[in-house]
Amino acid sequence: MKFSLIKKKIKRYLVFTSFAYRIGVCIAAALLLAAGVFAGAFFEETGLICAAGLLTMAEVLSDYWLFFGLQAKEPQKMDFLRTSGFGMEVIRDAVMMDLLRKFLTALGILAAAYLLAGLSGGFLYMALASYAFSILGTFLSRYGGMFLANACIAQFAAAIVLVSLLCMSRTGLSQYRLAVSLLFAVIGMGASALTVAEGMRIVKGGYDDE
Amino acid sequence: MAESVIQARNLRKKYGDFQLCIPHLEIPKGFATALIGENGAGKTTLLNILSGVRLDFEGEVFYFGNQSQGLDGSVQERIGYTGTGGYFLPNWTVRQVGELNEMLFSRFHKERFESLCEEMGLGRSRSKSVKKLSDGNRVKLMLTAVLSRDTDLLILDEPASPLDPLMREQLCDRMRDYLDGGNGGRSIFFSTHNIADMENATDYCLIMEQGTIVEEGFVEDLKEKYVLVKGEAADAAQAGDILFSMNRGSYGFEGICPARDLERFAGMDVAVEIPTLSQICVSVMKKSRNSVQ
Repeated sequence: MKFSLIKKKIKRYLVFTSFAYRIGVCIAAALLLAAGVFAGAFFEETGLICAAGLLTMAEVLSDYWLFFGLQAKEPQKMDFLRTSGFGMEVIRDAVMMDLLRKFLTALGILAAAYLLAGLSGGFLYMALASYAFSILGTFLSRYGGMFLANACIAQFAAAIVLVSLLCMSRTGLSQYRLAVSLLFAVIGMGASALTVAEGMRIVKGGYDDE
Repeated sequence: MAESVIQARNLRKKYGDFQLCIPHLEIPKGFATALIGENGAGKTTLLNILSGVRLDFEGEVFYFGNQSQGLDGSVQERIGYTGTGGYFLPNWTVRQVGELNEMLFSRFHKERFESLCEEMGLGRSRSKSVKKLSDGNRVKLMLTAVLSRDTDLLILDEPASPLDPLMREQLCDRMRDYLDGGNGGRSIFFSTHNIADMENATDYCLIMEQGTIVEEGFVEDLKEKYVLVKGEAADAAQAGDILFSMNRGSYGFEGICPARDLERFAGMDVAVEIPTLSQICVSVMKKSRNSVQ
């Protein structure tokens, strides 16, 4: 029962992704994994931090082909979904599954790179940082209407991840890793909640004058 | 009037200075009803309300002859709606539109969607995103999507506007086929500016002006209710008081008036003809606008 529910939600997410997008995400994930393993093997923790920054940028950029402009003030573009009784449910499931996919991608790629590069010291805080700022970046870019704005936000989000993780690694803050991980987790969850709530508010807003 | 597919009472919706105000509305079942009016008359607002795309209005709407049946998922399942502007997310491909329809509507037929894509000339554009389609092809995609479902009512907002004349003719044929396929059980409610091109597909007509319905009726009845009067230039001034609106030229004048007013032309040298739907609509709209001013 639960499995069929999850399957339905995955299907609702996948329907928003084009074939090219799916292929692109798979290729990007493979390249990021390779880069993570390579950088991790040569530059250890710093290399993996760079991979986390790249991953953040890739996630924000890739949203251009998915829900870009979802929160822009043109609610009539969701008229089609409002013509069905299931429309709101479908878009909510799709946005939520996208967030879950982003989290699992960050966790999976960095965990695999960490293990394959034979590193020590943990990777969870990097995955949480990458997820948190890629979601924040995605949230902001969904208001936009131009790829250039999306690219700027992607670079800015990646820079925040790089700076915050490098600061942690180089300034002895790594002893507070658990606390920092929790902070990233809180930021990630807050940004996720905001992304779902704002997306749904805008789409539902089309029913009224909002 | 015949049995109605939509009944509405006291519909009101305000946007700034504009107000939609329709005390009573009935769309006959089994026919194609055209909603005609100038830009800003409130046509899209009315269609959005009836299709459930907008919910912020006052009044009551009932569907399919059931006085207790408001809009819910089961009613939406029976209605196919096509809008204007950004109806789909711009990044969706034609194929994704099909997949989404399958997910959103239980009476959607994928095979029919595939074959209609071919017939509408979208077969080679399946991987193209909506934003890369021409305006005409976007309308074709919307029509393909709604015609791929088993519906009882189509609500189409300006389906003819972006289409070329050939495709408009095809649209009229498809609308006729849709109605014929339902054996009187299916209805269409559509808005249009292309009155002349869509006259063949129109059975019933609602003329809207400044947020309200100013005239309605079956096309045949309207053509009996109004007449086209042509006369000599010398009589133009006198005839102008009787006609709703008048076109003057070196040859004389012509204009529309209610058939009951024909006796007022006594003493003038006039010829009377059956007007086209377009001529009736334009005159009624002009008359309504003038009477408000």
